[in-house]
Amino acid sequence: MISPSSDKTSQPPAAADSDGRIPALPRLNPRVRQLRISAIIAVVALFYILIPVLNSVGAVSDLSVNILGRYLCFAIVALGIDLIWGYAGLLSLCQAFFFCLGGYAIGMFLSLPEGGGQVQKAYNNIPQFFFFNNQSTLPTFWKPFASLPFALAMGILIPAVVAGIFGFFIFRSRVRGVYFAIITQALAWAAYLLFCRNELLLGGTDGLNNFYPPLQHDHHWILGLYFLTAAILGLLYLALFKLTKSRFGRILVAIRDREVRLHFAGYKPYAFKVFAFVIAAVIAAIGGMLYVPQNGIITPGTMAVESSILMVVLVAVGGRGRLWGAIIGALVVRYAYSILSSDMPAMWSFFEGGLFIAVTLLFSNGLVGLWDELEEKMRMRHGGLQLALSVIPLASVLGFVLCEALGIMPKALQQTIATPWSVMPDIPIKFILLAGILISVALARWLVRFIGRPRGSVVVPVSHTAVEEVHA
Amino acid sequence: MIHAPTDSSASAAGTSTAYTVFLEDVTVDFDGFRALDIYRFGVFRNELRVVIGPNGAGKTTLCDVISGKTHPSGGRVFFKGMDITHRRDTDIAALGVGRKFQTPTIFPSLTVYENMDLALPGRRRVFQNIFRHESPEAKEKIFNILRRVRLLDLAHCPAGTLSHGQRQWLEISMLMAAEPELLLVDEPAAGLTDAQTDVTAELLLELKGRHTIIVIEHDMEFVRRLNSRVTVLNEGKVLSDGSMEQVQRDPKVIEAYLGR
Amino acid sequence: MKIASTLLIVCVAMVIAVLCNRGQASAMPQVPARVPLSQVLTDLGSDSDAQVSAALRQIAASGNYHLITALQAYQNGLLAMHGGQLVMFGSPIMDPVRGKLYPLLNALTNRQVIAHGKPVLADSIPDNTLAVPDSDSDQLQQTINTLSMYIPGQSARRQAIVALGNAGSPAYLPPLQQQLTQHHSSRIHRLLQESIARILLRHGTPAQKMQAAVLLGQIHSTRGLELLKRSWRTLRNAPTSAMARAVRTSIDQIKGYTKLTNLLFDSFAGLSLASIYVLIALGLAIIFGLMGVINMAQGEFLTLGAFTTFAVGEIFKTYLPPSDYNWYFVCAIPAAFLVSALAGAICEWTIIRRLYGRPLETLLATFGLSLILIELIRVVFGNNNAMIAPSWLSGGLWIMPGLVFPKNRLFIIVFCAGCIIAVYALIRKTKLGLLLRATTQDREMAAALGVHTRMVDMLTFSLGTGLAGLAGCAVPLFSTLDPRMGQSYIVESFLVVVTGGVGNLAGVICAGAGLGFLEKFIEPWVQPVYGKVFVLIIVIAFLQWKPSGLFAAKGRSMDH
Repeated sequence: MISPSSDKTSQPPAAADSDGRIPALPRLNPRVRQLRISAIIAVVALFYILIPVLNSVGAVSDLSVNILGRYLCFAIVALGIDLIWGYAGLLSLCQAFFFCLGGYAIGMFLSLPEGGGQVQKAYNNIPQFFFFNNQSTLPTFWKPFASLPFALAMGILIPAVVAGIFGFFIFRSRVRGVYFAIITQALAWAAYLLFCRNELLLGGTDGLNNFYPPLQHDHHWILGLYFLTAAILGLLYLALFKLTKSRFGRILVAIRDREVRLHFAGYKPYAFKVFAFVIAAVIAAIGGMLYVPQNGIITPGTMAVESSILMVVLVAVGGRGRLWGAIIGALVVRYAYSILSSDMPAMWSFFEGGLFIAVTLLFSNGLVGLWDELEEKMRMRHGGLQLALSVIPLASVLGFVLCEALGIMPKALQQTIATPWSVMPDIPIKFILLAGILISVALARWLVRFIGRPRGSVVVPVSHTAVEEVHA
Repeated sequence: MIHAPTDSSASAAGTSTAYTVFLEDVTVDFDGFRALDIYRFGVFRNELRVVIGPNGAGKTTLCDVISGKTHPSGGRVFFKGMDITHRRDTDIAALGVGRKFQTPTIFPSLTVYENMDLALPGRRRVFQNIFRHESPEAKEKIFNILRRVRLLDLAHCPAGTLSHGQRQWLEISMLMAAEPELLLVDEPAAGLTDAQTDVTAELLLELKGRHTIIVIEHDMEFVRRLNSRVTVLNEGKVLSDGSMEQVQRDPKVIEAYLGR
Repeated sequence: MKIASTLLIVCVAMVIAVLCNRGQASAMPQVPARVPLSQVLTDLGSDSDAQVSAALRQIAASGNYHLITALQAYQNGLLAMHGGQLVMFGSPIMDPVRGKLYPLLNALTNRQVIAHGKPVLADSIPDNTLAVPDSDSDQLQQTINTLSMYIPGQSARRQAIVALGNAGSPAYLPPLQQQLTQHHSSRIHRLLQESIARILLRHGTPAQKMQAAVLLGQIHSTRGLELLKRSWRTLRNAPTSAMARAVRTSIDQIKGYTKLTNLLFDSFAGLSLASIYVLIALGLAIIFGLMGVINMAQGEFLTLGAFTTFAVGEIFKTYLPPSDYNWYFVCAIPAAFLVSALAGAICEWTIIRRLYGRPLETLLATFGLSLILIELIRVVFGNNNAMIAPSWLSGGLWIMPGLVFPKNRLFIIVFCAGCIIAVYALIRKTKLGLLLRATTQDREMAAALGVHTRMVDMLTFSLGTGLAGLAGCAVPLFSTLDPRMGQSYIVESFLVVVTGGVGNLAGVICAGAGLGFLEKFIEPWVQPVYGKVFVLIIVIAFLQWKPSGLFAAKGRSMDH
């Protein structure tokens, strides 16, 4: 989308007025359209056909599919966060709490013998931790969780009600922006402290575990859960896509842009915000419900203040305000986390911190920004070099993640190189390669900007940049 | 001619129903500073009233009080006979009070069309907005208004890319689309070229007679073009009231504008 | 300002209280004149139990507290006759050749026994040390206890008197009563009365018991409460008797008094917790309120200050004589401020500067910053460190019987008041404060007037982080040092800022004080965790009433 040049706007465009034709919606450039269609086909084929098939023939291990399934759960949460943060501008720092509410509901079902939980006769056939909390019988509020439909209903209902009540009071008093973020953080923190208590009878700091082992080990279960997760992710994506294109979505954007104006147009923004917040909470809970059986354990640590913020970063890396960006961001960050924390555990904290800073300082449009740039260049019929400078960073990051996800990283790249400093751990070649590609592309882009002038200028569409209200 | 409300001998409650908007003994204090102190101020149905006054006279505060942005420290505000003194801004807007802000306030990320769509009356509840799409009549209405303010070509551009004057018009168009009973128009001519000011005045005059309008303005040439009754505010108080000529002859007004 | 002046008054009052306490301490009680005791001491070696007993009685009457060491050695079987004089075996020293060696000490003078110009050392403790006769072991303990009363120094003497009361033996009555005639310090006097009454309540005649019960009530003796309750249990059959009534009245008097002291202590604890919140929230409020930056790393700047304090302490320990160790804390305060402020300036220069006007993104960036800072501190200092508070901050300040304020908490209150006054003075009275206010109110106008706004931003940010560093000085006085320690305060501090209203320091101070008190007063009723949940609910409820905090800015300049 090209912004209208400003010199034209000082005078009303009289010529167009005289014929008064109703303008049609801007048409998508055919090349961009082709690009998008092929990308969609590739993604759908990869997740719904290729990976299951490769897994069935044994080319991709069950463990890889299990991990991918878990990370798709985070992508689900990220979808919800993108709805409220990317569209409505509400930065919620308690999504991990809703994630865990869903997770605990299904975890309760899975810990009971009816859900295949590993209980022992010596412990009255109830989860062992009750005995450490001086309980020898199942507490009343646990009993209905023996039924799967009830657990599923509760997993959705409880976060919806909590988010509804909390959101109602917060938004009704017009707590906005930064204040909202802080209050939700306090909620996440209070909830975390609460779930660590043993008297809540939810396992204290150890959480719920000892589920039905085949859930994480049996091929059919793993593939089934992966399929379920991928299907639900796809459905939620379509539903949210529809929602954001509806008038409701526009109102959310209007809230992000200028909430006060909506008041004077007769809207009650708080009702829309509460509704969006509830949707995001329910989506997070669905993610949690799918995550727990694949993960095999749920602890209060999953809802610590930090993990909520990390969930926000999933969206920030992907790019706010575009739903598929949230999914890509979630997968990239989660894989980066798992790779780094297993290959170089000491470096993860630094990398994580650096990622937060880099995402806000250097590429605030996230991976979506790179993609937009690519589309823009295709529309403007840029040359091969220009396209390559957009494609290479995108392709190398995604390729890296894909290789890791499917466990097909070449052996040569797995080897490590020792660093001269004792503090630094050995670095695998794959990281050096990736960093090298990204740095050289960044350098090349910088050079191109100064030496070779590209044709036309790239204008980032306004609707994709965040407009935040500043409270002074 | 219309009687000045300050002359009215009827009781406040009785008087309030005769006006679309009526302020009685309204005071507004900001940390000890009295921004507004109005004994009586009323605007009749379908009247166009211009409020003028020097800087800091309380013009915008008057708008704020009526639209519920600021709640008065004392006194009562009536809209169509209803006491709206302590209502929230959203409720007042839903009752039929539309507003244009001093600096144009639109939704920059949405397109011009989408901005207009949100201004249309009705569909203020959450669930009305999720599944239904806009009707052809609504589209027709939006494009008709946009054609008049010459924004038709830009209908699908993000509003954030509009120029200052176009934003002013977009906001006025949004008011027109919303069809409120009462329009509060705060400085519609500010920052516009002469040609643009003329079009703005035209638009307001077209609305006259179908809506109750309060226009706040600095630009005397613009006020003269509107050719309507004028209320002069100074230091939060109503200084003078009447036609433009009457007001201009009022020694109190001359003193307030030229200084002592 | 009101809060600040109230705090100032409290501080002054406390300083006066400390000085008064000093005055009492200087009034030394009379110590009984020393008598030649060499003969008496050698009597301890006698075979006759009666002679030993008489000797002990004489020693007790002498009031010579120097003999306590000898008596304790006697008790532990370390006293022996050596060459006609009484000696004791000191704590062993290690010799590279001969192994463990015990120095011989003169029992009377506590000096090393010298023979041929060399200290005498024993390879082992011989079997023939003096044994305490069974019949005299109680008396020996009593003698030691009695002598302890004569040790100079108020606190040692107070402990001894209380110990005598705890022992409750009638044998202590004569020395206690004798002391009662001599001491003039009201605190000691009260303790003496208390101990005597406690002994009498157990062992006295009915009339004495009655008197003792009344007295214990009058002096609000919490130590006598258990004793009174016990006698009430025996008297329950005759609740109308004069004795029973006296006991009942005394119990009620003491209970009422305990309630009062508990209330006072809770208030004090609440005030000190509030001070910490205010101290942390102050820096946050400056950064958040004046600059619109949400600094999630504020807790880590606190940690940085805490570890700077620790490092200064380590440097003092390593490079300066131990006598100077107490001064490290004084040096650590400016050091912590400077280190945190400098780190803040660097962060502002590299990161925050690029994010002005995007508060939610500052939140993410500073959160990343906090992760890096935590990891850096962990790499440099390791995980667990404990800071030793300077001796002038350990112990407590006696306010009234049964009420002692810990000095470290007292220090935090005074320190916080000092910081508040300093910040107010800085913002209201100095040129920098003027520039700061001008820049935050209208950046472009200030820049147009020639204010170097970027510099002012940096200084403001460093001031905020420096204040966190100061808070970091105070926090480790009562908690362990841990790289993640800052995280535990950050959420509550943000709640304080939100409740107080952004951009308003007075609001932040009030909110900090309010939340601190609230939390401390809820704590006795529920678990601390539920207390925090409750505080969150209170804050949300409060925001229903005042959405923009305690002191929200009013005006019409809020178009957008």
